[in-house]
Amino acid sequence: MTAAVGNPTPLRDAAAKVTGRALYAGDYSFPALLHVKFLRSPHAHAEIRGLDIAAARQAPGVRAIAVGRDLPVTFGILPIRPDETAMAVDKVRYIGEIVAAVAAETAEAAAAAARLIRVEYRPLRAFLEPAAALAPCPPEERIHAASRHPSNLHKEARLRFGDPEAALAGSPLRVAAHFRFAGVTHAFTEPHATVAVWNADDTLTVISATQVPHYLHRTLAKVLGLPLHRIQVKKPALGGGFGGKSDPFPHELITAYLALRTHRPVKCVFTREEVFLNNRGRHPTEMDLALGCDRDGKLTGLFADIVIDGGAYSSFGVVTTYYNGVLMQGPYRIEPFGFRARRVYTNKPPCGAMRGHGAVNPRYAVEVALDMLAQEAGLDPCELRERNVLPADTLTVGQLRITSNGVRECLRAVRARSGWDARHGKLPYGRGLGVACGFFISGSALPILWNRYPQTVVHVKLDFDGRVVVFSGAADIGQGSDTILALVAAEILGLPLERVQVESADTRLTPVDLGSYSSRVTFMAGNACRSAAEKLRQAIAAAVAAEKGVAAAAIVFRDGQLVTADGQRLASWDEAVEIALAGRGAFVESGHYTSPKMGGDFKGAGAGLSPAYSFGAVVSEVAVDPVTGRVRVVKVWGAHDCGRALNPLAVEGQMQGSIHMGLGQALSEELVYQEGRIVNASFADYHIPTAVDTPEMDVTIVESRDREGPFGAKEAGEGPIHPVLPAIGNAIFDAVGVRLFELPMTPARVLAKLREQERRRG
Amino acid sequence: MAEAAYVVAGSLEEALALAETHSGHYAFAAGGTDLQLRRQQELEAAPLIIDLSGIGDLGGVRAGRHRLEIGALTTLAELATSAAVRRWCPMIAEAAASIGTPVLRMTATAGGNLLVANRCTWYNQSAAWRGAAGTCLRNSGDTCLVTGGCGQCYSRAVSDLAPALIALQARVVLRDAHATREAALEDLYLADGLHPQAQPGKDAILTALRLAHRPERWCYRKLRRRDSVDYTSLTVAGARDADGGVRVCIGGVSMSPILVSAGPGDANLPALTAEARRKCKTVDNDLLPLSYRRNMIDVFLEELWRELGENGHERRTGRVP
Repeated sequence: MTAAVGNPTPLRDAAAKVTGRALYAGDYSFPALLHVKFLRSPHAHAEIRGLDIAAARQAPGVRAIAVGRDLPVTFGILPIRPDETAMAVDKVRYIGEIVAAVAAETAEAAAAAARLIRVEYRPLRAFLEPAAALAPCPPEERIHAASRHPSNLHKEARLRFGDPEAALAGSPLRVAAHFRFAGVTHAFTEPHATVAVWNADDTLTVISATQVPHYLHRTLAKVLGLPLHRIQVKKPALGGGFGGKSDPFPHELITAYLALRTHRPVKCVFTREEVFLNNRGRHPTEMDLALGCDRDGKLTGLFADIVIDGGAYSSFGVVTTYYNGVLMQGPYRIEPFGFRARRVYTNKPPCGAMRGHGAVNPRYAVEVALDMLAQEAGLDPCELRERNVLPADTLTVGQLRITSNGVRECLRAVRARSGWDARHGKLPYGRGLGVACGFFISGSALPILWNRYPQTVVHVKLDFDGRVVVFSGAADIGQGSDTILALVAAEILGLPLERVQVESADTRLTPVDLGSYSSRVTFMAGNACRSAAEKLRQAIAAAVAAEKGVAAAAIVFRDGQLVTADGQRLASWDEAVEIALAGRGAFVESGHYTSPKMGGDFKGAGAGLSPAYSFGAVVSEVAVDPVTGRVRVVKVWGAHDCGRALNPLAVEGQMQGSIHMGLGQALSEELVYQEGRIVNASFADYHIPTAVDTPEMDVTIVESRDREGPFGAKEAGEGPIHPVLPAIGNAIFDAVGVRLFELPMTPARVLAKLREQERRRG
Repeated sequence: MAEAAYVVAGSLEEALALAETHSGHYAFAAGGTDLQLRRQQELEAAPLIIDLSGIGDLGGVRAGRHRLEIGALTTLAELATSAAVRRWCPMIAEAAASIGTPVLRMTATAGGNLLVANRCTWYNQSAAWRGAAGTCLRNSGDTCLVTGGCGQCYSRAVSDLAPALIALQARVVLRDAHATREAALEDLYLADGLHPQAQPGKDAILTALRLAHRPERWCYRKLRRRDSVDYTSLTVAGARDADGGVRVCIGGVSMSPILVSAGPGDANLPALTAEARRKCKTVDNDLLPLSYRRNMIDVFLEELWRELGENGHERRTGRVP
């Protein structure tokens, strides 16, 4: 029996990527290619008084120069606040913002010419910290003068269910703490790159390293003033995104504009420093959190006051602001519940969406607070969590609809596999275990743009050659979505995987998928693909049934054959193809997916809504050196409920990748700024854990079989990260008795806590 | 990155002749791992690169009964795995193995590491970054961005081989177009962040390292955020002779490697620590916080003192076989 779904399957592009044959955006070349380099702002906040490109224009090899006024149309990933322009128009808002661009015959000539551009700036007051940015200031000082707020506040989100302050005041047990999180960035392998070609038929092709070809397509049309039907966006092989390639970006628009203007192909490849300047990473965050429980450990309420530092532009910020609050309402029953979350503009590179979007920092706070409550209540931290986890098929306090829920199984798995009961609280000084849980959306139920189209469409094509081609706009960014679509189609049609080919992320060929963000692709495109493949199967079955005189419903597709229920062979796949195509030719069947209507009837009810949620738990073991403060993570046990693992190899990979990324934010990664300049904009100085810093991992897949997911599947790309950080923080407490409220938990911070502990103990 | 002519020297004599001809307008490249980073950040813009890597007789480890010679082009990977080096004193191999990454160690050389450029958080940045920050003393300015002062540059000496080899009393062989001479390794360095290397001198090449001294015990420790890739934030290497004499060398926290030593009978931890504190001009020019790095100098010296004692034994310390 063919079993595509559930088989550990190497990703389709893996061999090409590891042997150097995969073509990334930066690998594309065309005759007469021009190269673009940028002039970037040296000021955090300044008015542009003058811009002189005369000398640059005369420089050798220069073919075109673009400045802000050439592309003044504003854009942004969220239609609610399009506050970006391709280049700074009247003022610059962060160090590194693009002011001008040069297209020249070589990259070196473009860079040399960019240096000849003279800009006269009038420095303005720079807002570098959220506290300063929150203070009222006159409009002319504000980063965005058009803001409705009297300060540099970008967005304030508040939700309340019941009276959490009163409940906490009356709670038998209550903990409160102030948490601080440094900004971190995605640090993917492949730098941003874009190649734009103006075609002979007056259409524009943009090949770009993007997670969101569809939104890039729309933004190109808006900013360049071209009709949608004359723009093609293609996403080639992509070397990691993690949210850092999920906005339409200035460099993509500028590169396309220069191709349009010169009628020559134009290419842009970022340096690593430029990738850091582009940022869109996780927001630096300050958070006050209070959480209470009764003597039995039942949670009595939660209130959080959160400030996130958005940088100079809004990006996904409105969503991030809400997610910081709403994604604390699981995986536990917490009622009453309330938060205020504020995002401020500062004169730093913009923050945006990053793996685990908006929920990673608050998850740390909640899980550390739970650990503190367990200690106060005299309960085992696993036990306290078990007493509060949400069941399946329920609504959270804010009416998020939970369907399948394997959080309890996840918690039990890591508890058993780590030897928790025998070891937690019992290891020698310096060694410790910590636990945490998490949950995450399996695709945002609400699209970014409100329109009547489905959230994803998949075509499945069958022609005389017997191959099945899946056409999907979904962007495989290394997470393996092409492989998932092939597995789904192969499973439905009973075909060996090699019969199914996937064409994806080319807006001229493939139907719309909204993109690879919010962990939506397996769930949504998977469902659409399943639906399209089922239609094709029905069509083939009907034709073969008529030819063979059997009931269509009785035909089974398996192992590349069509057989009856009792195993009698009716036709090989190729024979069935000929029968089905006779007199009509090729099939193209279509499937689509749109999230069901859900959610409450209040402002902000849509935030965090998803057709399904993944759940997870992590136990980590650490060794803390009390002399240097250094923390070594010895081992991590992770369990994740992804509904069903369509490709267990990819799910394990996502879990391991999440552990590694979480470890980085927990212990060593942070964007360090000095007066608005990123100090560590390189992989030498931005400390991603290396192979030798990475612990042994033990991952367990829990399958709760979601009723709405394709074959029961939910997400696995982001949810596994959330419990990782607090499990490390809680393990440090078990090891040496200090609570870390500031990330990353550097040796200096751990040591400072240990010294403070010594002083307290006298 | 500035354009540069690139010449692979076929012999030491050819390299030295080229250097003399282009004096002041070239850069030597051995492994090039440090040079390329600096070229990329436009900290190095010499119009000529003289590649030494093809000079056959500058590589390899030669072990005699009472002496060990290490060719300057010996790669760090070779040093880390050489049986002769380990037999002489495993600290050299430990130090080499702690540098960079496995891939970098296959290219980077012993001589290159000893002459690695000093580093500073405010200097080792792209041209655009430095332009936005304002010029520093080392970048044709008149004020230090770290201290606000205008006299002294405190860039950090970051060679990890240097502390180990200085503790082991290594000497270097220096050759120019006219002569060959030998010097104590510590004399290679100056406590001057702008000009941290007194030697090998104008248009000369460091060709080899010579060791004639084997301590009884040794200890090597390195502070950094990760266990790979990172430049050192603090390196402490120590060697103790049978007669009780101790040589400790500290890297990564001052403009040059800092040697603190005590003769037989004089060695004690408080004195060593006091001397180290006095000599190390540590400022806030690394990603690890200043107070923490200063604190760790004391901690590492304390550990080193313990490990150099009779009973000390740990992975990064040991008795010379």
